[in-house]
Amino acid sequence: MDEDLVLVQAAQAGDLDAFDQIITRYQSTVTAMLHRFSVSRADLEDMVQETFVRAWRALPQWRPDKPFLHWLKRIAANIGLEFCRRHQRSPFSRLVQPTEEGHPLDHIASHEGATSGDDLTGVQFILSHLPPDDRALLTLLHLEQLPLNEIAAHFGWSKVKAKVKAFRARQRLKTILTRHGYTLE
Amino acid sequence: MDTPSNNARSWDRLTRRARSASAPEDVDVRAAVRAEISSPQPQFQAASLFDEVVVLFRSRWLQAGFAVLALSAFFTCHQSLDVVNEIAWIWQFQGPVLAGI
Repeated sequence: MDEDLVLVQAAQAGDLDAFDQIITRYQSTVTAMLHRFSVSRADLEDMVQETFVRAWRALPQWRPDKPFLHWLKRIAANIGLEFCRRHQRSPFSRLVQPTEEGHPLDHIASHEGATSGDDLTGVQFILSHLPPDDRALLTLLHLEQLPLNEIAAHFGWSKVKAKVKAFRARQRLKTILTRHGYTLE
Repeated sequence: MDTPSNNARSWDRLTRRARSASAPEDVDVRAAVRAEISSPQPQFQAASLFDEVVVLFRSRWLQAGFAVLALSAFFTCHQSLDVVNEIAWIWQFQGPVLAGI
């Protein structure tokens, strides 16, 4: 923790080498978190890069009374939310009726040989049918397993607003899942 | 559409397996980040008001807004045409009625 402080203070003073060390220290954590939003290598690298670029620009605002990693994760969560907004599906995608071959959502990870990577892709595909805020919230809640309080703090929402949003997001998710033969349990 | 699946598929199980998917370990953005933060930030130059307006009018949302406005104005006029005709028709009877009184 003290080493964090030394490095961050050096970076705040404009030391690029110190910031390099910060990146080396935290890029795997940030990558793991943002991997929940997209498995695409290009998108993932873009998001990780953007997280550290924004962190560099916002460094003067960081105060030592808050853990640096928590602050960094907050930036990463917002990058994830922006990713969801940029890659939002048309609202009509939720109205797509199954054809004779079925609906793409019917075939997600239904086979036994599916890897955990396939399952993650499937979960991301299902969540991509939700509005961006819901998608980001449920990604952090169900995949990153962050507590709701922390998610609210990351997105600058009140706890009540986060609870209401989570309830509505789960309802929308349940509708989609039920329609395609999944159970929430 | 709402048919139950032939094999029970659980969201919980799917997310549990998805959580164990490992992120690529060889992501290294140090060079890219350094290149970006070392490059000079583009300086904002105040464009002329005319340029700002031109840029504003190129935005899709504004064009769409004007299109919607024009369409709604057209429909309002189109629908109120009958009403205007009706008022004119009543008006032309008003003269004889008033004259009778």
